[in-house]
Amino acid sequence: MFFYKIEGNPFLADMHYMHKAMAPVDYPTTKQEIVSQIGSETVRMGHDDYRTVEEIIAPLKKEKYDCACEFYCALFANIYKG
Amino acid sequence: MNIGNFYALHGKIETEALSVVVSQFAPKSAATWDEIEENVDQIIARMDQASAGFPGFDLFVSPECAFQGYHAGKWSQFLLDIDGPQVQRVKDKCKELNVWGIFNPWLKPKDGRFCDNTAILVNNKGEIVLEYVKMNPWTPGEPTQAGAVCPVADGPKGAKIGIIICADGDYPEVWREAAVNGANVIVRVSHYMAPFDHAMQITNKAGAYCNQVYVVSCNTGGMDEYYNYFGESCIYNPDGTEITKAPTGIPYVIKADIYPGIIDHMRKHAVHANPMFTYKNRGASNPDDDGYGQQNMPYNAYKY
Repeated sequence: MFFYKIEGNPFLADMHYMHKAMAPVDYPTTKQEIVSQIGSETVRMGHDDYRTVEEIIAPLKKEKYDCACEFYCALFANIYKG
Repeated sequence: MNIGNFYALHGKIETEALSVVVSQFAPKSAATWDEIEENVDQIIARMDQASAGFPGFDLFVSPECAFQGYHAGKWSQFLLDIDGPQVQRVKDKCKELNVWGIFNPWLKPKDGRFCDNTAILVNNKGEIVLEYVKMNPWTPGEPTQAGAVCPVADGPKGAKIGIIICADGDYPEVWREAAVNGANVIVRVSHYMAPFDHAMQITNKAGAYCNQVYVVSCNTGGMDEYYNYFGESCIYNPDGTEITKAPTGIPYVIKADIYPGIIDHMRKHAVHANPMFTYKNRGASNPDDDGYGQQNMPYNAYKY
């Protein structure tokens, strides 16, 4: 029997909630259009960490996104900037 | 249909169904003009068969060499004219049946060059809307002029159709070229013989998966004086899985309804598997690159 154990208590569902919030977004789009469309949506990013989409994407340097892959690459790049 | 992605595919997909008939058969290796006419008769008969078996279909696909076969000693004596009567017959048949068709006449170029191995897409008005000259002839046995471009044409039901021919599919760059030019359906016509059966399947699957595109493969099924043409025509999903496949080595017809609009949607909404973005924005999620990634062309393979 294989038991999968995760050390500590990490929050695993941040991208799940973010992607749920992004569901209405069509492409190509811009950062401003995303903010206008779903900027006020609250996304659970940690056990006790709730942020709006506008707050999450504010640091992104790219303004225009031709496809979802482009947007998420920019999002991940920002996340790992720390 | 879309197993190659972690993230849910969001959004409403609107697409028509493209009903594709792939007719696998063997032409004669024509050594006379009468045998050329017999081969054209067979193409026409296969189109009639498709109309009887699959009423309302949109696109008919026939194998490479279906007009002429490939007579090792005499093939170059029987090159066709793009405006000639043989091509005209299949154009007229498309118009009569109100369907689109893909055919492969080997042509005598008007500018005096030796020979072009050319695939044509004919619309339902009987007009040629795409001509593709094989970019990677099967050298040394196929001394035709190598084409220079891989055009894509709008087809029925939202299809954007690119065509490649037989040995083309052994070169990943021609698949990518068709996809970059906008193809959501790549049709590979072939006159492929044993022992390349496994090679055809894996290159078709790779072409579909690596370029997020439907692949329609139509191969000759039968024998001539020289080879066993293994058939195994197949239609593939964009993740490389098979939708339907013809048997080995016999005349056969397969048909599938595919959804070109799904490809367009995936290229916009797929998060993890989007090669049309990632191949030219390598490492775009790296924090040092701010979502842009590396946009240069690093491959020596493409700098020769």
